[in-house]
Amino acid sequence: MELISLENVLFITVLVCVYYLLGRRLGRYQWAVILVANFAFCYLTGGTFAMVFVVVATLPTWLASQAFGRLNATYKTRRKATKDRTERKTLRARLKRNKRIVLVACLAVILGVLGYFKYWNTILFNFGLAPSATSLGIMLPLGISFYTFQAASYVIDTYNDKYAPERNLLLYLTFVSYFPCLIQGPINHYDVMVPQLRAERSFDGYKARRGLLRMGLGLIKKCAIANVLVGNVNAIVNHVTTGTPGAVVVLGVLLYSFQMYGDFSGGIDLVEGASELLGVEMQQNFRQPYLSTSLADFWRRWHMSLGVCVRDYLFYPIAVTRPMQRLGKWATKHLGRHLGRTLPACVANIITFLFVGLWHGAEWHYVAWGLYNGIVVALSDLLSPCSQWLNRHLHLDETGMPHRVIAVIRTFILVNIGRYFDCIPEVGQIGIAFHNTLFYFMPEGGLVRALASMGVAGSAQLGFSVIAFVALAFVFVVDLAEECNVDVRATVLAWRFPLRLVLYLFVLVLLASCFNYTVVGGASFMYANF
Amino acid sequence: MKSNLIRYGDQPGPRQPKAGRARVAFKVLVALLILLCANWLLTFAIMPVSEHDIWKRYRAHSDDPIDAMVVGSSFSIQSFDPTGLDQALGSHTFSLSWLGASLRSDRLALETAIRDHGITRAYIGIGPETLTDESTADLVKSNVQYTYWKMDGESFSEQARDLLYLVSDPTAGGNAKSFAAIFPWSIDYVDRTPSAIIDNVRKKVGYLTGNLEEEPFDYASSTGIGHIYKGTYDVDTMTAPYASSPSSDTTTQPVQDNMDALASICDLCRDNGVELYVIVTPRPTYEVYHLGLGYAQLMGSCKQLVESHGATYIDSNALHADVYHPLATDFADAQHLNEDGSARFTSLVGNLVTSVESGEDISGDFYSYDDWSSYLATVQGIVLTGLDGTVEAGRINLSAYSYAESDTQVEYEFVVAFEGDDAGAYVARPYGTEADYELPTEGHGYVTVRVNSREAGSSAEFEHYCAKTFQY
Repeated sequence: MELISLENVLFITVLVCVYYLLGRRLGRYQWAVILVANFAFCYLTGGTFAMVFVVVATLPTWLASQAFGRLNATYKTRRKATKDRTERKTLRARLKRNKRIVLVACLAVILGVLGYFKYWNTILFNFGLAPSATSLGIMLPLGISFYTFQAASYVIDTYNDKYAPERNLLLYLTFVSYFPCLIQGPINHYDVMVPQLRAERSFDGYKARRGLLRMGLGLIKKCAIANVLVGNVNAIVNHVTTGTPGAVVVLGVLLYSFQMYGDFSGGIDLVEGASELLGVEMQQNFRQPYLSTSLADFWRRWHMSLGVCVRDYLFYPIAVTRPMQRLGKWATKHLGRHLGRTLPACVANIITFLFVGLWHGAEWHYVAWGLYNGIVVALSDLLSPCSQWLNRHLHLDETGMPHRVIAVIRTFILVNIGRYFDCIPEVGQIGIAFHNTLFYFMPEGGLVRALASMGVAGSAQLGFSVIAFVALAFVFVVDLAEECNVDVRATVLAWRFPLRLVLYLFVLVLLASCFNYTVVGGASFMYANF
Repeated sequence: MKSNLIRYGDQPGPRQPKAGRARVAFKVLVALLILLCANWLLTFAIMPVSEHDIWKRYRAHSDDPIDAMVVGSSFSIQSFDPTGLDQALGSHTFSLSWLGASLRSDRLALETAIRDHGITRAYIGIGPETLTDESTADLVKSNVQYTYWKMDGESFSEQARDLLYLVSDPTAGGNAKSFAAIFPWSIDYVDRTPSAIIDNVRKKVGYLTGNLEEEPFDYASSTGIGHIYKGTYDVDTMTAPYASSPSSDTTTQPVQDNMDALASICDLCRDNGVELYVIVTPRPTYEVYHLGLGYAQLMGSCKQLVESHGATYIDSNALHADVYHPLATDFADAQHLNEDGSARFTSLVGNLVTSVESGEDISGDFYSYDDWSSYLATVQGIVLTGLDGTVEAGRINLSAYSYAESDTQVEYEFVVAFEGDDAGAYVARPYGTEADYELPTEGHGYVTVRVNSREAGSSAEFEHYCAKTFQY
């Protein structure tokens, strides 16, 4: 069963009915309905194989959190029993050491499992120990990265005593295996989700309609943008040769950019909408990323839940390490206050983006992609006084609309330069793509002929993406309104019934026109592979 | 002017009085009715009228004593002549086969024929693609088309039964294609231009009112429904010896869904006392040869499956040449027979069925899949030539290949034509036994490369060729 299917419509309809009708009788155990649904969904989408790994991620992290709770309790009891400061210090140090051992062991287990499935074959291949990166036939369990990160964030937070460990294993399992985020996230935090799961709920028609609207928007993004563009994107970016003109590459990269946004954010809208039907609001994962004013801003708006994770669990810990602090002090002394403040953050940024690149896959083009993003973000931090100086001397109003529009366009270009590393799988081809973009842009015989020779469907009239462009315009208007702080869903729900019906019919026709293009198979969402 | 936009953080206005349940129910009902009507209208306007005929004609023969049925896709249509079968076997055969048929729609046709006429014999024509095709999009479309054509003109209960059959289609199960069962126009549509839609509506209205004018059937470019192909064919371009490359997919891995569907058809026939013949239809030698031993593995697993489910399996490509060997002029294209080929083949099927039903053992007429190399050894000379190429900076690495008799030495000639070059086509490398050639290029543009092949020592200009255009 895939997210976009008649079966899933039936699944969610039955779940909503059972959750509110039967669930109300269960009182404070209403979440049990969700737990059952989680495992049913997991089985229907990924089979028994997928279910096993959800449990594998759940058990060690829950046990580790219980261990932290016990160690803390023991520490408190013993601390109370003694007034000797040295002994208290010793107790504290022992507590920290024991907790660290538990944490490392737990993370080693769950990240080891993740690492094995994601990287083992590629590592062997890179060392010449496997004939190809897929030769061992290791199948990545559905959504393993997402629930592993979710569980890892919980165990780190309980290690840091951010909140008390969850004593109820089944409730914790409900959190880790929460079905809407099982395929491609978002990566939720325990303290955001569990209070919502625990709450007793009755059906709220208004919230449900908001959820349905969000699902509709997600369907448009996924079906009318991503699925319509995917064939043409693959035809271009997977076959870049020295003969591929730059104009074709640029078109392919731009289409990929839209496809990826439609695929990922569309999938997230779908599952967030489904979750809202149950009254649970998951963490926001996208906030109009293509309207960002800088690359750093873009990464605060794109895949936000992963961004929060790497910021809290990677960037900050790196930035405050002793070597970084020493680097900061040295830079302040020799290079000035600005560099002293930003240089450690720049290094941490590059390492963090490198990690994010590797998270996408153990492939060189992802390494290059991570480095590109890290370096550009670092450079923009380092050079920020220069741009401020330039703005001052050119009398540019940084808060004005023209400046903002230019910043959005500049960021869009920067993001799409980065997409070269992301979508073209061979490093050699990436070099050719950049070379041709700069030195062989317009093809002999025109763009249409060049596209046709690459097998781009419907290229004869360049009309291959009419549906996608209509959908893109629709999504752009919605994003622009949201960027202007307009609650689009509330606004639509306040419209008169006939006007809403016209909108719904338009969406229905647009969507149904796209089913023929739908990608079929387990990996029909790009991020389900991660 | 007051803005109608609601912003995040806005204070909610005075609360509207809560709508009554009846009002909400009424609104939902109206919305549903409008959606249903819109869906019906779109189906009517956009889903093409073509091939409605197939079920209309079947119902027109409802009083006929039909006792045999031909199902299947274009393999069946272009191979079996129902009249020829009837002449050979004294039966009353009808064909519900159609161009895009899937195994699931074949099953639906057989189920209906068993229910309506109690048929006792059935034929299904297959090819390797029937087993290996993973094109879910086409299969779902095929099922939707066929079932909706069938539903047109049926009673409500029959329509409901067919719709249920469609919704339970495992091909579309669990993915977005499943919505096509409810919105058939989303997967099967005419050109989305006003003129095409208007023309389609005109035909549908004519069909509904019985005023549909019979359009003259284009025999040269279409297939007759339930009959054989009656056109004339451009044999020179489509058949050996000048075929440039094999038309069929090179995969020889069966798709489990297809195997299951075939098994289900065999079971249906066995359970209802229908003698089912699963017949692999003829194709040019090179089409079989390029699959090598993979053909034997694929069709061997099919044979095993069919026979274990109680049906009779016949592979016309595995027949000894003295029993049947199609002529080069028997083919309409690389996978299908033409009228003459079909007549010869139908006669052969009649004879084989007669032999099988009289208890004769015909297994000796076929090459064994376990010893397929003995079949491959019967091939003489060059069967087929192909060309691969990779574009690199300043050159194209060309690589020619041929399928040929094992002791045949092949030589190749590379002829190139750079677009926009006044020199036109010229021989870049004369005949030689080396299959690889590095073509130097300057700047960017297009070049067409044609590789000619012949047996080493031959004085023929060429025996086979393959041409491809590269962008460099």
